[in-house]
Amino acid sequence: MATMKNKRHHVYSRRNLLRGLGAGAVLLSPFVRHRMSLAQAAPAGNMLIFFTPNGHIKDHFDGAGGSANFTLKKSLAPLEAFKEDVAVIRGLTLKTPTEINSHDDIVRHLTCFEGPDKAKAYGPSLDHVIGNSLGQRPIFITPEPARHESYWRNALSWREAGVAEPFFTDPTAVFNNLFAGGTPAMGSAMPDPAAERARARNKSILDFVNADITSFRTRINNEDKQHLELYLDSLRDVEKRVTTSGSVTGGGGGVCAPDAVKARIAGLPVTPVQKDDNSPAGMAENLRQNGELMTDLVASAFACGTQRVATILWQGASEGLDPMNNTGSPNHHSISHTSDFASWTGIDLWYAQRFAYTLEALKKVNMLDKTIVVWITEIAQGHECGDFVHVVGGGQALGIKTGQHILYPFKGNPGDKAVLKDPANRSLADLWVTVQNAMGITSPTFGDPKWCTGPLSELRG
Amino acid sequence: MARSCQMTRSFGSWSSPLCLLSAVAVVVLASGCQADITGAGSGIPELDPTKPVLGPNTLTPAAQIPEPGDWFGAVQAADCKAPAALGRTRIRRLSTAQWNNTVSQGLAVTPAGAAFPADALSSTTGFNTDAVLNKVSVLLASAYFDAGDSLAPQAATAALQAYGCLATNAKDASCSTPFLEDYGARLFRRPLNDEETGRYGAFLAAQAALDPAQTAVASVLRAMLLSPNMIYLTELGNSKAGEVTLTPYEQASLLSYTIADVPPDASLLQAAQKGSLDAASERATHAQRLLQAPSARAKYADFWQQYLPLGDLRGAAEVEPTLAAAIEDETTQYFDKIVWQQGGGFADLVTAPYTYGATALSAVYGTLTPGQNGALTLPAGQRAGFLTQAGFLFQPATASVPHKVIHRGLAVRRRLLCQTPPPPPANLMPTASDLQPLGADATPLESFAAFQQQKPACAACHTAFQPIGLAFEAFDNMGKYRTSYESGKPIVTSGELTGAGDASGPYADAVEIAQRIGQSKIGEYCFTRQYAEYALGRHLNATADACVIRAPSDIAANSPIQTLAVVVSDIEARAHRVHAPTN
Repeated sequence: MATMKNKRHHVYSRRNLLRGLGAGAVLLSPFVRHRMSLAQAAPAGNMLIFFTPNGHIKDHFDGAGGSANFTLKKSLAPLEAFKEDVAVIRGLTLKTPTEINSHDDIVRHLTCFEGPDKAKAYGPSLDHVIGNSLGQRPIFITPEPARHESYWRNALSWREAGVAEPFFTDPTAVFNNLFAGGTPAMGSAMPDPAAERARARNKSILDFVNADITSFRTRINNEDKQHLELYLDSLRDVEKRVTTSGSVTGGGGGVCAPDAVKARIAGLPVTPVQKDDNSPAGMAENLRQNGELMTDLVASAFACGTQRVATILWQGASEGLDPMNNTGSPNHHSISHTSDFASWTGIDLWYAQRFAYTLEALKKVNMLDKTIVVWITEIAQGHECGDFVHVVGGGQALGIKTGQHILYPFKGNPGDKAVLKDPANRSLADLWVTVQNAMGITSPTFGDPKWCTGPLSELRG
Repeated sequence: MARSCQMTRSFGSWSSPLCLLSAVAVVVLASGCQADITGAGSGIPELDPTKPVLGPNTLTPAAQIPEPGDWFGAVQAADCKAPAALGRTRIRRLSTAQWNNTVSQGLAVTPAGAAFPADALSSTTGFNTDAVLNKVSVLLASAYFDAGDSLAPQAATAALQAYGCLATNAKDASCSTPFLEDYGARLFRRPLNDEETGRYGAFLAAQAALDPAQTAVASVLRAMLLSPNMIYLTELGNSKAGEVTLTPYEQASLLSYTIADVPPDASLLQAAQKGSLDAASERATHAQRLLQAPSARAKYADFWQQYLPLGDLRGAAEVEPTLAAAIEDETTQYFDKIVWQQGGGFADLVTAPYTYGATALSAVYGTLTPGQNGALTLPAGQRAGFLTQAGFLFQPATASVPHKVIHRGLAVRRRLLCQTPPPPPANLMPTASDLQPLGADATPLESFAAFQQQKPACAACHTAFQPIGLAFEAFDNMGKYRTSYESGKPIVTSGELTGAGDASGPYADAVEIAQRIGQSKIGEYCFTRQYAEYALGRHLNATADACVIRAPSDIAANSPIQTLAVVVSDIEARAHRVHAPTN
């Protein structure tokens, strides 16, 4: 692998590498992008995507008053204590919805490319784009497996066009992945010859397999080469895990104490398997405990500098339990298509409490101002892909202007695909341009450049 | 708001009901005979290896051929006298079951229930076997690495016993080559070429210089387990650009993995080596042997479980756990007995007036009369096949009446007729009150009539499936038979099946719907199509793959379900493909 690494460095100049980012990066193979990323000089920020399904009752899930008289509506009341740490954005539009504007658009929300297959993304998602620029794989987590594991309902994080990475659900696996290179406390002063030989052996095996793949690759149909490129790219992560020494240099600039969080894993209740619409009592409580533990693990990894990009999907699109009534999936979805606005608002409120917990967790480890947290959902309300409400938390040290409500007036019926594409309606991709800029990617576009007009100057500038 | 209501084949986003097909059990008091399902005289068209299937100007991969609007019509119209050419060459990642079977057969070690991530369900086919979708994610690569690390030392011990010289002389090619050839062939399902033997030999020698022999041999096995030659099934032929046929070893693998999820055994590899797989009778012999493997049965069961998942039934609060377990068991047993005990076909699956399982099922079905071979005869005239069994019919108590009607109707269209109406567009999504415009006291039929009047744009699509669901109103949420609602109003179950190919026509009730579909070509083709999509890991295009979809039915009407694996894999193994490598 070392040979290929060095070769890539010679081929791609820094200027070319930077030019390749953004839309152009999609066209390159994953390892080329991975290599490119090493040339980036990004500010030391972090990004966390916070996903909840089925949209919101926007009458209550919103803010008002601009920056001078910023207020939060009732579903966001739990964020009152963090009012100066959040920006509520109303009116952004997914310009690249599926033919039907529906829950399937979970695959489009962080990718912003169009294509014929509604269950497939046609480019990498924001977390991977930023992860690539940092030379680091983003982590994708769900605190509780949804009813339709590995189905489109969870397909939020895309390594590249057509390739959705599976998520982590096991907290131990999350910990091991977040701290794959070891934590500072794990560094050993004494060399261990047997362990060193084991690492060298692992590397030899992987180098051999790498060559085997390269040889195999020459035989296959061009359309299948992606299989092998992804396999090689995946093995690179394995290599990192099985050849590193367990010591970490640097840090994220926060309070790095992951062992205390790790200790909580053992105390977690066993998550009951969700069986039907009337799931066992305590399921919502389980989701809360698991989700908050995952959040703390991520915050810890940010603080230690071992991970910088993460996505937490609380429940899958078009399903989800109803935590207010403690009933199982897909009751959240069912409620979103009824006039039971009280229950729906209750669900929004419950997730707002989790969002507040997330901000608090980051604050505790001194990382909130260095972390951009974005709360997203696959559809705005009903089945509409226009006029979304997004909540952005933290990131002040990265230029994010919090403590305000930003309104982009929406023109027309947000359920109408033609209206979504109206230039008068501001593109969601511009939010992702803003976030990627804050994370060090200078490209003025994200996803399909056709639907970008530039960063949101109201949010960052 | 005119919206085309052309039905397509895809599984995806219909609000929630999608997966609920639950299933079950019926059976056929058939003769129990095992039909002659393949081989010479089987009716599967033979390929003349001297004649190219594709002309020089017709190298159009199937993937580029558009799906016809009327899939059944396209399949019927296809000329299947000549074998159809398939699409491009491809590689397919082994499934978890295939990986486990390959390792346990190849290395004589038992993988400890490998914790591989679940494969995604294809939005096109609804199955988790899609070859394009199934790649090696970071999680999977990591699991492969760890599994190799854990299994190889044990396998290395056995290798050292078989090839004693490795203990002291692993760096010598005369010692290492027989070991590498043996284990390479076990894991790669073909002989290693000289270049590979040399490369692996050099690696073994290098490792043996640094580690004890057992560790060095384990390192070689770990490398083999991570090799793409192990992880991927190939359908590449000689890998030269243009039209290719599979190598005999690829044919052997395709047959064994398609039928039974196992690598080719010694007998099949020997046939490949001799070139005898060109003979239909030879392939038939191997296919029959593979069908007897427990893993063949397990594979069919996995197909059935994905075809009719029972997710909503498990643990439902309103169902006694013992009854829920009995219903689930009924589903499994029904399919298993129809396929393996009765040698039954699709018609049997859909129309049998009996089931299998525990007598506890009488809580749903009423009086069950024991019949032959453990079958339980159902009350006359009320039920036919799995469509009228509790597993399929069950709906949670919380499901609204329109949800239940829509779900059941859609399930029939989607799984039985391979027709999926498009989901409602964002600005046409009907609300609960739209679907019950006369209030909750109206019957579902009255509600639907009013809905049609008030929402004609919605009705354009809903008429394709909601009337079918109304016929199933003869069964309550639990699947119990009834003739009237609690209000005393009678349940009207009659109607007309439209746009359903040769299954179209009037029906009196759900039983007649099942019989219409069960005795139709469209039903048979649809079932074969879905089985083939599952088994082959790809979407079948009704134009390009028409002859695969038709093949079992062309051999015999209501051909045994067992034949599907054999017929489909045989055609696939012999098909020509387009290979287009680029650097």
